[in-house]
Amino acid sequence: MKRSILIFMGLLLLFSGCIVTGNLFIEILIGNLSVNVDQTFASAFVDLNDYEDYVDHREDINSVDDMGFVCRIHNSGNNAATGQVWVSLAEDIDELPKDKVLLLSGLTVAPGATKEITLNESYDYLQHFEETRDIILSEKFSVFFTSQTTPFELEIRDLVMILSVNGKP
Amino acid sequence: MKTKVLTFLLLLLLLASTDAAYGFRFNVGGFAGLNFPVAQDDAKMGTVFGLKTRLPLIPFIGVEPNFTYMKNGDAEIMIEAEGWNTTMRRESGKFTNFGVDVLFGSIMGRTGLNIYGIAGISSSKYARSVDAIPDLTKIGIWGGVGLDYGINSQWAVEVRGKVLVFPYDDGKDTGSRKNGILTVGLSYFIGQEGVL
Repeated sequence: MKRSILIFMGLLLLFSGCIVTGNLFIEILIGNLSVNVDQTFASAFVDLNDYEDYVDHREDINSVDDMGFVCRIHNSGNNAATGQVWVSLAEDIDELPKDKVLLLSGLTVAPGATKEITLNESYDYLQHFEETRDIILSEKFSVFFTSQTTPFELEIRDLVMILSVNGKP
Repeated sequence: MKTKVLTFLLLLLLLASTDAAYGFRFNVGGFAGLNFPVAQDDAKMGTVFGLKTRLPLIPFIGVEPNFTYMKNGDAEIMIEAEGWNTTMRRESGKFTNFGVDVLFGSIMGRTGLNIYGIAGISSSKYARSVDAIPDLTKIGIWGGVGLDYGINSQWAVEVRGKVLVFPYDDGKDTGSRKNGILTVGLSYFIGQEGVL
């Protein structure tokens, strides 16, 4: 019995060394982006160092385990339109960068309607998680909004990226 | 996964049906309970269930091949960004584990109270049910303690506390997820009490 207790205590000590990391959420507010036939894409530049939650844990973050989004998409056009969100390391917003990764696809909204995407729903639209994660971990990146159908007049409102990161809580 | 579970069950039945099974004492059992994510904002308390068979090697040490399924409870996150200020639910992940535990202590299924330590490893898969996020399959590390109460020479009820450390390192990402589990189980011993 004594031997069992000693071995168990040893295991507890071993495990306690691992229990210094955990998962936490970081919110990245991207904001509003509008596109139409005259301005076919809109972008926002993101520097993670502008976000307190990220800066507080920056040195302790090991990985991004997943990412989700919340947003509202308003279609003020006369046709159903489908939005897309891309990310890129490019900071230049004069033209759509060649090196970009499709992040959200299939965001279809009926004419005159506003569609709210909840965190759980956003996973249905998520694309290319691993490539996006690598871009996000570079800390500075651009988020682009455009439409995959024409004609369009779309606005994505209150876009928030939610990262689940593994690190020291 | 279904194939693996069916294979596991088939092996248990096969083992229990052999004449050799009665030449030594072992058990088969099932358990269920709760899992508690440790330091994970993105997961809440969930459920766990599984199957196992205990094969004593010497009177104080045995091995337990086992299958353990764990589903974390959905997390809730307060979206504080401008325009939201609302709580949303996030579907959490599930772990599928095929493992082997080493048990040390009072493991022979004697009538009355028996206590033992547990250490083990498993092939563990963590899945999020999101197409774009790949499942992770890694070696999990387990530790804990178990308490059996032998009702008679065949049947025992048990209570166990275990911890799973699920480390991952794919070259870019490193980290770990930890889950504590608390289970209640029922075991049936095959073979005579007092026989190894």
